[in-house]
Amino acid sequence: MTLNDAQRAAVERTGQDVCVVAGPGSGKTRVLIERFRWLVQAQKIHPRRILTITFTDKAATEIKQRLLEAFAEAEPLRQEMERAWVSTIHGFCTRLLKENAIEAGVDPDFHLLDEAGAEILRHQAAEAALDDLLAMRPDLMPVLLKDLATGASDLEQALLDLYEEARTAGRGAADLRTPAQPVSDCWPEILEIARVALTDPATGTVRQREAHHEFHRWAGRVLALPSDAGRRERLLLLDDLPRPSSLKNTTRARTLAQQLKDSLIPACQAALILLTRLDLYPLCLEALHRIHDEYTHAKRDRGALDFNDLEEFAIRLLESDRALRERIRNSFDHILMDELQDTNRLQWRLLDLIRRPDRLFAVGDVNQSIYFFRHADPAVFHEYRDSVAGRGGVIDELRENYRSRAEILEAVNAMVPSLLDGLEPHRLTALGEHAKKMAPSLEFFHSYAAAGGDDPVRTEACWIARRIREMEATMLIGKAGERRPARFSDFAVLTRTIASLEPIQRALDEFGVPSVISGGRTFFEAREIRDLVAWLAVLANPRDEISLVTVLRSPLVGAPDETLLRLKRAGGEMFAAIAAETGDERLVWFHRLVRQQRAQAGTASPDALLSQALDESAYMDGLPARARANVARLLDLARQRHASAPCTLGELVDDLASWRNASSEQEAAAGELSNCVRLMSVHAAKGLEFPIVFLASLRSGGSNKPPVFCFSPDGTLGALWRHPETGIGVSDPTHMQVWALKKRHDLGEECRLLYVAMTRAEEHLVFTASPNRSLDWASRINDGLNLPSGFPRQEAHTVMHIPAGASIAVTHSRVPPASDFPATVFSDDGVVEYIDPLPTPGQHETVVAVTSVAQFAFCPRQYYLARYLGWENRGQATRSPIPPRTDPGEFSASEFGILVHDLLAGKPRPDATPEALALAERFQSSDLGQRAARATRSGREYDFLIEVEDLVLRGQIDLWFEDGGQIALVDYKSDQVEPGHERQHAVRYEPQLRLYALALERLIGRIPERAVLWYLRTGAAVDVPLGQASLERTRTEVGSLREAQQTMHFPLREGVHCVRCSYYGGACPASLTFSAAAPKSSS
Amino acid sequence: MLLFTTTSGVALDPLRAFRDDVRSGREDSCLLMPTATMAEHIRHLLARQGALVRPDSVVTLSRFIEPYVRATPQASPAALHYLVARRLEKDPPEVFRPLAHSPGLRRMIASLIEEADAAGCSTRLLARRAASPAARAFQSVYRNVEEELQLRSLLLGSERLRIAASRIHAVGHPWRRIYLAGFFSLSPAELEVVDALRPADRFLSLPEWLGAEDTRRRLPGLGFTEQRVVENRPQPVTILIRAANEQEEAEEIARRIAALVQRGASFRDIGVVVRREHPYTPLLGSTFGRFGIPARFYFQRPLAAHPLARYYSNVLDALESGWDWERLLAVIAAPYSGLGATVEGDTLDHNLRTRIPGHGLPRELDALCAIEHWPAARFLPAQWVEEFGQLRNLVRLPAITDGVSHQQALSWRELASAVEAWDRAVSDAAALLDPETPATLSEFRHLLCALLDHTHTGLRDQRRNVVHVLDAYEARQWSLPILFVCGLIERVFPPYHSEHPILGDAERERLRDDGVLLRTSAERQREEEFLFETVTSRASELLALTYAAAGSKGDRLLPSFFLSRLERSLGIRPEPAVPCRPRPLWPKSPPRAARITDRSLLAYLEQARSTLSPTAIESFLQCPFQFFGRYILELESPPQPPSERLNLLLQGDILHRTLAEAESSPLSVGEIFARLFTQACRERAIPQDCRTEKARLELQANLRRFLDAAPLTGVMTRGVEHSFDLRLAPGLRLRGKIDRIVELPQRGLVVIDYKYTTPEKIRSRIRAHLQGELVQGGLYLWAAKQLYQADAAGVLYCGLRGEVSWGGWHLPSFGWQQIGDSVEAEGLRDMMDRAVQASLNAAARIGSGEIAPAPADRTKCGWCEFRDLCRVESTPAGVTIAAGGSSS
Repeated sequence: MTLNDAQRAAVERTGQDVCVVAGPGSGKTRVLIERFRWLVQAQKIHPRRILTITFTDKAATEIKQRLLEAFAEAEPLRQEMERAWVSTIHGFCTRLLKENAIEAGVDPDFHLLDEAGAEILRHQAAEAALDDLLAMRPDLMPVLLKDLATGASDLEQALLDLYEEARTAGRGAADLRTPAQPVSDCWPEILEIARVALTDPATGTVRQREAHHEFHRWAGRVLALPSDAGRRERLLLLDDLPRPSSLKNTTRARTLAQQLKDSLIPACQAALILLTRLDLYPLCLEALHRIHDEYTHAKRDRGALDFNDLEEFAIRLLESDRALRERIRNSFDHILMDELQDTNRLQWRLLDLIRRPDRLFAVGDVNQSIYFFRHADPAVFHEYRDSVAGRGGVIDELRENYRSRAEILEAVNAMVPSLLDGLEPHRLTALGEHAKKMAPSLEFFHSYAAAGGDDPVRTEACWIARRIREMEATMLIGKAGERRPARFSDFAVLTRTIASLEPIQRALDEFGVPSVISGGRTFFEAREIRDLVAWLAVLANPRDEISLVTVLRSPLVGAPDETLLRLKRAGGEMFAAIAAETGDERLVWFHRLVRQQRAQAGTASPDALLSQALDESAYMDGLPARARANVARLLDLARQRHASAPCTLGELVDDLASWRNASSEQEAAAGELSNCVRLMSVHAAKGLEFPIVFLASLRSGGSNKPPVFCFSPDGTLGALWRHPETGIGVSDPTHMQVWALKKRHDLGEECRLLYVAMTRAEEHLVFTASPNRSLDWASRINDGLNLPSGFPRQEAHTVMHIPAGASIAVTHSRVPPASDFPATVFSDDGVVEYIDPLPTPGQHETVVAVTSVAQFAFCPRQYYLARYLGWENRGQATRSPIPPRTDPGEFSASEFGILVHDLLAGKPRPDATPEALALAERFQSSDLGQRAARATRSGREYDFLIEVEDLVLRGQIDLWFEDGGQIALVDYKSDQVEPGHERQHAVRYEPQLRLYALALERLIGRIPERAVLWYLRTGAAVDVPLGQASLERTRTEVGSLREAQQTMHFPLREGVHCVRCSYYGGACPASLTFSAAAPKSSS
Repeated sequence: MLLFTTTSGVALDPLRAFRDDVRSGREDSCLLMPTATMAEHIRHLLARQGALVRPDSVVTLSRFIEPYVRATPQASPAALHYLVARRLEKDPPEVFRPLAHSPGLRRMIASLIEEADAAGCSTRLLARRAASPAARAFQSVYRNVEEELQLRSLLLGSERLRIAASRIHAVGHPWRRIYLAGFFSLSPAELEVVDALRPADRFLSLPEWLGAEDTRRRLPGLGFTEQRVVENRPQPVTILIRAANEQEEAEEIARRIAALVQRGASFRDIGVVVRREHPYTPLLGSTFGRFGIPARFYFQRPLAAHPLARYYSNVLDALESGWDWERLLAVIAAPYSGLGATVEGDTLDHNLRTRIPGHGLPRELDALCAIEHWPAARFLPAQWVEEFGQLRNLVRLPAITDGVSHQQALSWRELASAVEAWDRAVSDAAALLDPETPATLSEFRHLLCALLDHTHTGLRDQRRNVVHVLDAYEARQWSLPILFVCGLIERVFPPYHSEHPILGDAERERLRDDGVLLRTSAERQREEEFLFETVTSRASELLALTYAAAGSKGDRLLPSFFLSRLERSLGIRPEPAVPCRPRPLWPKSPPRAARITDRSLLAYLEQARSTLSPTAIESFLQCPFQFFGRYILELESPPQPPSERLNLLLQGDILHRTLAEAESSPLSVGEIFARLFTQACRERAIPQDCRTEKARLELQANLRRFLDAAPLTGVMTRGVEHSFDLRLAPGLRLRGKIDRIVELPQRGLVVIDYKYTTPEKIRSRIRAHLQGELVQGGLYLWAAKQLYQADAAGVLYCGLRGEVSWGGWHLPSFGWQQIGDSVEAEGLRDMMDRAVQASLNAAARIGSGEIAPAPADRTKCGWCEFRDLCRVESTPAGVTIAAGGSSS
């Protein structure tokens, strides 16, 4: 698609800041991308000197991907694109702060708290702050708790709402201030009106005259009130004002009463309530400061920032460091800004700090500004547009719509006059290529109740479901020449609030329509997440019966309810009772797996435990894509948590419960979803388009409650207090003003939301409504499309004409349509390959010590404990890690052995004791020693590695030498052996010497003629036979060791030696009444 | 000096020459390598090729110099971190002051010191060259750390290398030929060592890349001549795999490994490369575990993360908190406490959770008494080492058996390593403190905690036939037949390198003039490309490059930009991953009909339903499954956290009891309320915090409002809190307690039920009664009639929350116009009859085994305690949905 003239003009505009007003479907993103390309290709701007700011990460990824594709053929440019600045404003701030962390005063390694994590931390901070304050101000805090109109919310939440609101508006807690004493409480004006009212004669009907008299009486009471009457009395009196509507219309009394009701009494009440509670405002601010401090410290300790911090710190940094600001400003030749209408004041301030004159290219549509609740301020867009125009610049307007059918756009255009509370009047022009069709592209369905049993909400939901089933596969959609029957994935159902979607989804289920809610349930409410969290809870403590039964009833186990009842009847703890259910193999499996996993829970990652349960139980089979994505996300969450901050399962379960309570975390997006209807809120549909859109529940949602706290533009704190008598909320003057303003904003936003919702449809738009009254969209549509208003009381179906010639099919019904459609077979699991367990040969060690072979040959279990597991010298857990204190010059047995070995190896040891010297001397003066001394070649402490039986053996020969053509090898032993018992003792070392002999064979080319164990303490030499058979036996022992490592079987060899073994009575299961019989396996 | 490109395959060419030397029996050749794992691998490789290998002939450079510098140990990263932290805490430079406690700054400065030291950037040079305030502040900390190290006779790495070089110069070395293989560049200090080896013949291979330029420039001055290698190795088959998400990516790797092994490949022929340890290695670990693929992970695990260290830390936390119960929960759950995963531990955990908050040592944990004196003590560092030895007594070792899985054995080996590492960390901590100055427990711990993050357990997994999982830097020196490179997505590989916030690019450029090469952000970014090229050149037969299309939240990810280049150069297209799972043990459990049909169980139900309360009947009418869970299974909920204990149920109960007691007590209602409230809080361990205070005030106000409200006119109280147990029908008794029964003179009895609820809830209760979902009113009226043998005159609900509200039905009576609705006696009879009939029906349904979840009012499901297990989907109560919407 080529650019149209208006788009081209916008893309290539220079010499001014560019403001592109881009209506829905007008190719906004495309214009932004083309602008980027044009700047790079035509204006030769380096890609990294262009800053592109988008509204969401998803949009940033999309734009970056499209830019990469745009430059695919120009490799150098494409490579430069990889590091181009395309991100959300938060992404930009993150990069800025990471690179300037010190100047910004943020942890250089900071991580970003997600919404849920930040919320939990804030609540903890608030809880601590308020508890402290209660302890410090026991006089005032109870008053505050009592008098604030917190309703169902509490002080903590009210303060946190204020805190976040202030931060998003670019104010710190310190910027808020207490209100001043009111200059006037309007009481004199009320007195004046009361006086006038008394002079006005009663007229009208009997009832009206009675009302008039009542008004007189009220005025009399006002005038009679003593001048020193208390505020409480005044407040009470003001409450008693009769309803102005009960007075005769057009009378003076009616006008006066209305004036009192609308302005004077609220103003007076506000002033009075402020005066009554004035002493509590400083306490509110103190609480706010404490929350701020606690929260800031908590974040600092964790090296964390939240989303607001990113903007706050970035702005502070740029404002405080002029040089840096200039550097950043000069590093961008152009800034491209998407969705300017959704920018808040803080973000605009940031943008203002880094933009250079005439270098901003901003795209937006003030009519699509729907994020006021996130403090997006459409005035930012207005001001920018005005400033561009004011400086003589051209405003680029893109009104051509390539998305929707002309009939739909005509309806939208017709609606605009009824949406002027929030919309700027613009006409959308249809340029999309749509095939002609006869049937109306617009429908309106009304459900109504005529009898007690009617359920209009269900009627509406069922009608939607039925209509989708009727249209699916029969309605043709797509451009001319490319028409195809509609699939479920071509439909979207949009509502004002998510809550309205629940009955609709139920009806869709009933009618066999596959659907998925975007952001319906929160992540932690998803069925599969609840099952898996329950599994973790059972592992943490199976006494949690709710979790236990959740798991048992879930597809993880699938136990019938009768089994549950039997378990309960068995008495005692349910989990313990499962052990007795031996007849049910799956229960046996469950019980065993839980016990096994509980034993591993301290070391294994929770995601591994969950995965095992999922895999073995086939839980994932047939699970919808969305649920699979949720499972993957939970596993990821558990895994990351375990990797970054490991904790006990109990702590993890507690955390998950906190997240569940606190989180508004959305479910995982399933990525490439298959053929199902999308259900979502209008907010979530922003930026999306669908062939067929149902705009449902047009009268539900949008109710708004006043906040407990607010602040005025100058930072004055406003609050909603409890009326001392009625308990109803009474605004103070600031609260009253701010709330009135917000209601006006909300009204505008509701109009824009409806506009955004309607413009999502490409081919067909269906309105549906049931008689609820919290939202006025239905009446706005009726007004805009010139449809009859009011609630019909009979079934009807008509086709009506709307302005500009389009037609709309209007249906009224009170009865839910029946579901007589065949069931839809729906599965998005795809083909799954199952992998069988793999054989795992070769799980032995790559390398073992020669001494290990000897130890294994002596007692495999001792080898296993000491060498394989590494519990060397740790037979007793209670052994102190501190070596026994020794006097200088005193050595432990092993140290002494090393000392003598060193001396014999010729290493200088100034700390040698006379005893050690004597032992060394004994060998040196022996026949063997003498021969070694005169050897033609020799080696001492000869380290080596050789391969035997697929094991690399590591060893060190104490001494080898060649004398008289004979090779001898010697191994010194410092063991305490009784003289005469050396030969018996030497048996355990024979494999060691034979392996040394094999090593020497590799070195010298032949097996040594002699191998000797030299007992240092007794001076005895014990020869080790090196015959082929014995060498072969040793090779076999190496093979046995390898095999034992493979199979993990290390049989225990009990014998008299056990009592001297450090594992005896500890880690080794050798019995106290052993027999020296044949070795036996303990496994 | 052999210069090679990444694809030439000669990175290890000196290795071939060394192997020839070993085979020919030369014992004077030595091979130096950059990493210990690679040196070990080469030693084993040579041994397996039939040679007798001298271990000290294949070593790392740092191991090589060890004999020359044994007396001057190198400062560990832990020591460095501690000294940096100490300086920042005690006297931070002005520019660091706001961040003195920031863990990230400490880490960054410690690693910058190591980087600067390796590059030969001295504090003197920095003092001359540092321009920015941050760089100057860094110089000051760096200098201070150097001084502190000197006091402790510790050295930084480069100084140690220099000392080694001068000693080697002085005393010589035993080698005639020295090969250096696998190095990608050498630092100035390493080059000094290389220079000191001069008498020997030296062979060095170096890749041709930007990062090696400086080394290459300096080597001729050290006597090296340069030779370029142009040999090209055969290219492996290269495939590109696209998975839906990271999990599927890991599963696809496992699936392909399984297929390769089934076709004859060995696990040890396969490597998986990640750019960094996180986020992929934990995922690969779990996935390989699921598929039974043995793998070795070449990553060091900090001791702080090991369960043993966590157990010790939790014990010490609990000790310092005065045995706070909440902290003790983590101690109990630990596998080494002897209570973790035991029935006793579960019970203790349950009991403590019920009583939290509180302090004190439960008798089950008496062993901890041995260390109770620590918080009050001041010991010398050496004494602390000795005292900490007692922690060993608090460890209950696992029962070790053979015949276990290799994974289990690895876990036990890791535990043995952790025990040693803990002792080492304790000793290291003591060594860093002044030996003559006593320290408190918290001072000693403060230091120890810093060390635990930098001490590694040093697990030795040396199984022969395993898949190797390595990071890209380690993988540079490997050569494997089959290699998977995963996580090839933007920002992961390559990651983005930002300018260093302390020593920025400008500072680094300036230092370059003095010959100090500290890489700028651009250089580090370029290095990523080289790293990718190197890693992808390590496979000889198959190279599989994998990436995920979406993150764990479903957010779309961009493939690594390196891939598109490869796609173009090799002409390959991504293959989709195939969903796979380990074969399950069981078929998926089908949904089961919730119904009891077994005769004995039906008999049990019959018996259980023989006495019912109105609340139980209403529970059944709302949802049979709720009744089943609550009254038949009597499922016990886990202990509530303190913040949730003072819920509306308890608040209502306090109010009920207050009103009941006020009937007969001489005390004022306020006094009774105060006593009962305090008592309830004490019994349930409800903390006296803001939340409790708010609830108390609200209750008090509601109570006051009720007392101030106009009383019912013209009635006489007949009973208060009247319990009953009556026969409703054959085989069915009705049990309950009526809050208040009053008599309307000449008309009959009026039953009053107080509800701690809002007017709206009272209205909805009335509606539910009319729709037959509630029976309490009718049944109470019926019960009152039976109890007093008098006519029924009405049933009223009184809501006490927010405002006093009345709802219900009564015979027409003067002054009661605002209280409920007037009905005739027949209406009341109807109500009783309907309630009785509904109860009988409910009882019959219960007895017939009806338990299926079928909520009459789904909006109530959000508050049902069984909502997780009934498997009825409902939008939860009180959840605010993002994106502007708000739910009910």
